[in-house]
Amino acid sequence: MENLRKYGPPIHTIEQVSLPKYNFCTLDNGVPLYSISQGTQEIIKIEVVFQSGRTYEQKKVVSRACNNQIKEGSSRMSSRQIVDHVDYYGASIRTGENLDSCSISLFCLTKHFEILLPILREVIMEPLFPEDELRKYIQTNSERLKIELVKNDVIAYRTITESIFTKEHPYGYNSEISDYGALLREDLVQHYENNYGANNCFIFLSGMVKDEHIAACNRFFGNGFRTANPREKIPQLIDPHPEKLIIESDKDFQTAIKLGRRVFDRNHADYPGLYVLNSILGGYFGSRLMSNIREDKGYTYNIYSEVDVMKHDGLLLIGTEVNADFAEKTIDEIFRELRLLREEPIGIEELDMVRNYLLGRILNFIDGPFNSGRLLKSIVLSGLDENYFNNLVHTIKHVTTENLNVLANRYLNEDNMWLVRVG
Amino acid sequence: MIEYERKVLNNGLRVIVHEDKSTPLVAVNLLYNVGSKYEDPQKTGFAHLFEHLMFSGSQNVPDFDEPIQKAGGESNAFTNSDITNFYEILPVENIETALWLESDRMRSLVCGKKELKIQQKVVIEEFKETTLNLPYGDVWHTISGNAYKKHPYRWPTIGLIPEHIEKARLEDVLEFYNSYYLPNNAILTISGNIEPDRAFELVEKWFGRIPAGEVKSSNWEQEEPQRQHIKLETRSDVPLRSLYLNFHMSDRYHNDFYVCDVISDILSGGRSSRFYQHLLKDQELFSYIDAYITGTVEPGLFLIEAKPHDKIEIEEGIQAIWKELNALKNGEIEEQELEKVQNKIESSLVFSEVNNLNKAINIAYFEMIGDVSLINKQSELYRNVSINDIRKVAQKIFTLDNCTEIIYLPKE
Repeated sequence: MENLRKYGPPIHTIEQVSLPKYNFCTLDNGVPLYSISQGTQEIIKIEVVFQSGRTYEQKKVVSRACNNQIKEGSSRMSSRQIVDHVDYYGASIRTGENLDSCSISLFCLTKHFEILLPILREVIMEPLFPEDELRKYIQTNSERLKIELVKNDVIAYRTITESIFTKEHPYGYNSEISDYGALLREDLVQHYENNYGANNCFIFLSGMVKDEHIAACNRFFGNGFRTANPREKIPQLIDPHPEKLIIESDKDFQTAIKLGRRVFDRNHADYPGLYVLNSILGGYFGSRLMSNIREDKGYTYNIYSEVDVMKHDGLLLIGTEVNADFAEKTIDEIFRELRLLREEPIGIEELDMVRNYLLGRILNFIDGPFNSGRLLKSIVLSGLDENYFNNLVHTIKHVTTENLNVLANRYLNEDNMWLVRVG
Repeated sequence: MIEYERKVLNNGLRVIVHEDKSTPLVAVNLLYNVGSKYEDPQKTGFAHLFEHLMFSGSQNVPDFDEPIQKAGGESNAFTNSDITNFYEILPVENIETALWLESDRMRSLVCGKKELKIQQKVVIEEFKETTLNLPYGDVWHTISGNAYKKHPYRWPTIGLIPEHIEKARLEDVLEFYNSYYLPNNAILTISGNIEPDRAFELVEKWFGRIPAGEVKSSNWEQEEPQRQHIKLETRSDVPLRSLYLNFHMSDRYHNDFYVCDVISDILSGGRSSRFYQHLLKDQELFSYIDAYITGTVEPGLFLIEAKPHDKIEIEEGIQAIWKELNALKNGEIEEQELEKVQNKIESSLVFSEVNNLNKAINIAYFEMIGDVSLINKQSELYRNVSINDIRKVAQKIFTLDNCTEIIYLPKE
């Protein structure tokens, strides 16, 4: 026991990680439906997704506004009636948007699924977009934005993403109060008519899913849904030369620092390797940035790096908030960590730790029906297949120091990084 | 329904295991019965600083995070005014790694000057990032400082001021550790794919020989009932006006706790709630409004927080909120509305059981407040709340004398 306590119990390596079994079918009108049945609770989630993000917009912020307003009234029910009905069953309808797609989800106990499905159908297929609801949405969002815009961290994030992609790019523009103010009901209706229909729709079911739930989906979503006419504006590739931007703030706050660059879209062959490299850099608690800048120097509470890949492009972002006195030192240390990854091989012990850590994280991705459902959704919407998942797991297990070194020299060069400092 | 088995080791460590065969993972949760209410009023923020120090290493573990990451797991912790709670989530094959790490830092934490100094800096940056740096970030300081005059809930867990954290010395660290980080002051819960007997065996192996100790007794002053309406206006660097009304309410043990929670849901639980429908949408008074309870073990607060639209007078907003509170005091509630709120609470309890870490934390919490079996009675306790209960509790707490009103105004 003494030795055991001294050296710790043996650690078992995770050998087997595979995507949970899922079921695929198409509804009578051709809508693809993916489902995962998992878990011990009598609960279910249905998520209806449309590829209707920013690249489909005719006007700024319309994609987000349209999807948010879809739940605010239908041909037979007011916003109030919809939410009263759904809430009565302890259920909820939530809307969600990202740069590429929008979705409407219903969460409920399985016993209420068939009672609530007709309401979800009506919300999605017959929205009214009442003028008055839009007016309130604009007012509330404008005031929320005012609060966000005084935060250094928010200013830094908005500045760097806009710099990397440019203002004209759907991934680059920042929503402004004036963009909300310019929204008209007709804009929402037009965005809806262009993008929401059976031919641009995916359905994901997760929870304790049974055949009867899939049959119910076919009854309510397999017919009578209009045909959409989505027109995507493929964004122009603009690659401005990176700069260092310093924004002064009169507030006595911490300084927000962001470094970042364009990388690639989500189907790129370098993604799995960069996923591992980014983890080593700043993607988990034991990462180099955290170990050095938080745990060794104490300059910050949190520092991270992330790789965000979308349908048409992606970015790598490093961010932190520090005391102004430590800002320069922190930036120097970040550049030092980037250089070390480019110039020196990653030790076997560190790499093994990251492999195990990431395999454990992937087990978390597939723990529970909603996590698995989220993973399946991201794979399907990226147009990827099961090999993508297996490939990611394979890369985590087998990527070499040399591979990572090549990637560091490709993606972690100081000259290609934007730097924004606010405060 | 969460099934569990409970056992108390000879050293007083309480252990509770819930088996869930549907997951490849296990959550290990260790709750220490110490939070910021146990602090010296001159050295606030210490319990939370100590939580950070628990990651700095122990006798046989030079680096806490490395083994847990090698084992494919994650670890973290949180501190509030009542408890400090540590957890790991990892593949079940590696559960012993978590038990090794937790038991080693329970028996022999090693913390030197350097570690203390670094974590003081980290926590001060956390203080700035979460409190000083954000618009309205210091509101919790203002609320608790005005609502509580005697009880240690008067300072927030992060601490009263950053200088208190700077003051911490190595002797304080040792004393705190010896006073509270004891097996007989802790609850270990395990939730995941492991049989209870096997889990008990492993816990005995790693924790069984840690000696019990004497837990420092704490006697903090109880708050006297508030007898006068408190009104406060403060100008600070905020973009919009913001309004806070808070009322003293019962402790966690009293049935009024459930009544207050139901009231907060009637007022602001989701988009069908009264505040959302009446005040946001119909009357268009606010861009944001919420009602919630602090949920502390000892007598807590019922809070209402709202941001009025630019053109609305604050007083008009306050009157509209009181009109809603008065309706509850008059018992103006439909059976169906109450039933809706109870249905929502019931389904959110079911949804919360999807996650093993949640289950482990909740089991430990109910054991801490005295009875783990309460975890399976929550739904019923909420179901039992009647319209009459709501009327009576609303009459009791929603009075001017029991109300602290705080208004944040932008600088001119």
